[in-house]
Amino acid sequence: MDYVFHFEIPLRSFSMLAYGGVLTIFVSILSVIAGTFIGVLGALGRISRNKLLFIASSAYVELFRNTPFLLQLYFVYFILSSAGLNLEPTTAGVLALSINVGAYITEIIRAGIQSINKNQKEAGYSLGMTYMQCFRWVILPPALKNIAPALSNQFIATVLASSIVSVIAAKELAYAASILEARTYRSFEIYLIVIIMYFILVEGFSVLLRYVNRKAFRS
Amino acid sequence: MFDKSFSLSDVFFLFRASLVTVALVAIGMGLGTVVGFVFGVIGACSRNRIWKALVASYVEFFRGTPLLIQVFLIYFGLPLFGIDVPAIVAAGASLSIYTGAYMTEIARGGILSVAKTQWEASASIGLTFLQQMRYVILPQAVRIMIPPSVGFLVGLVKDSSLMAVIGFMELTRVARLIGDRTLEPLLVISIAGVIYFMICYPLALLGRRLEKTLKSAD
Repeated sequence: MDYVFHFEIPLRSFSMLAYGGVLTIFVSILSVIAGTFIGVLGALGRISRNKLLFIASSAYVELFRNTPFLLQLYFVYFILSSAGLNLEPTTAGVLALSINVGAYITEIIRAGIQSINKNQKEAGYSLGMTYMQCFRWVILPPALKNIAPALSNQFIATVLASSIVSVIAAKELAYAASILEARTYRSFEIYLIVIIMYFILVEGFSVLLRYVNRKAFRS
Repeated sequence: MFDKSFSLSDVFFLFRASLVTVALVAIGMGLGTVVGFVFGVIGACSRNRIWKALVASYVEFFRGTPLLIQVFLIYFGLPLFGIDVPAIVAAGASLSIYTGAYMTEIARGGILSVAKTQWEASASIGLTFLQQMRYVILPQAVRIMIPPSVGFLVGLVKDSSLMAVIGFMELTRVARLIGDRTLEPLLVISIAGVIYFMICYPLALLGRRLEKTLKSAD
């Protein structure tokens, strides 16, 4: 084996990789926030008694949970270009990621709300609460306690999935890695450094989220 | 020379590519499950801290990093060492390693969830470790492992689409190719999506039903 390691190449351009890492965090957070908005709407549709809303939200959830994200990304990209919208690849990536994450968060929120025992709601009614009051005071707090860990896991999964948007040249860590690789051909060193960076990001967020969940949901 | 319009034969190309996807997923799931069982047993039953730490590191690393970068490392990184890595080998290897990490956790969880009394009872009738595993522990553990494994399999079918990025001719890559050639990307991608849906949705329903039967059995 006469391969000489050249780890100084990715490390010399580390600022570019670090910037990519920051963008990855940015893309992930944006997508999860947007996905949560979509998820709330979707969950309301999934528990609605309105046939149309129920079918529409169920179709959305099953469609985007049973197809690959890469395909969804290409689909969004081509729809945008056929509609004449010339979006930045990063924006298109966030859009596609939000729609994808929204389907998963819909199910997370729905499961959280439906896991509350019906008796709780009835107890609230018997105290004279309206449905809105019941929802706000009786159903939502314990539901949030169920939703938070699943949502945290979904965020971690989104950080990992964000690497896929590099395929449409969206600016984040994996894309920075591929740019560097095209320039220097040092694929092994670059991708090794980048994979370690992702690992540190993921572990860091895991620890952070576990701490936040514990603090926020101290009984 | 090339038929520039989308025709029925393109649909057959897509179905053939979906068979490639299924084969790739089968290889990845097969090898990964074997790896997962071995490491799962080590992780659950070993008393050696070093072995358990090694297994835990493997699991944490390949579950906590993007599959895309894992594939790049194998496909683009290894050839620099003189190892020739064709796309199919890189795809199969990376999916197997990735699956192995997840299956290790599933197997470890399944084995650990078998009541300790089962170990004690089977030991007290004189079974060796291998006999305990084969006749008492694993049958119970495997029943518990099946629902999460099916759930993971659905994810694996979707993750196999990433192999398109290294040029492996599975469904997503072929869909892009045909879409670029016929200038009907949306149509072709939609058909590919329908095919993925037809594979994943029944599997997902099966997984959900299995999880329900497991819960009701408690």
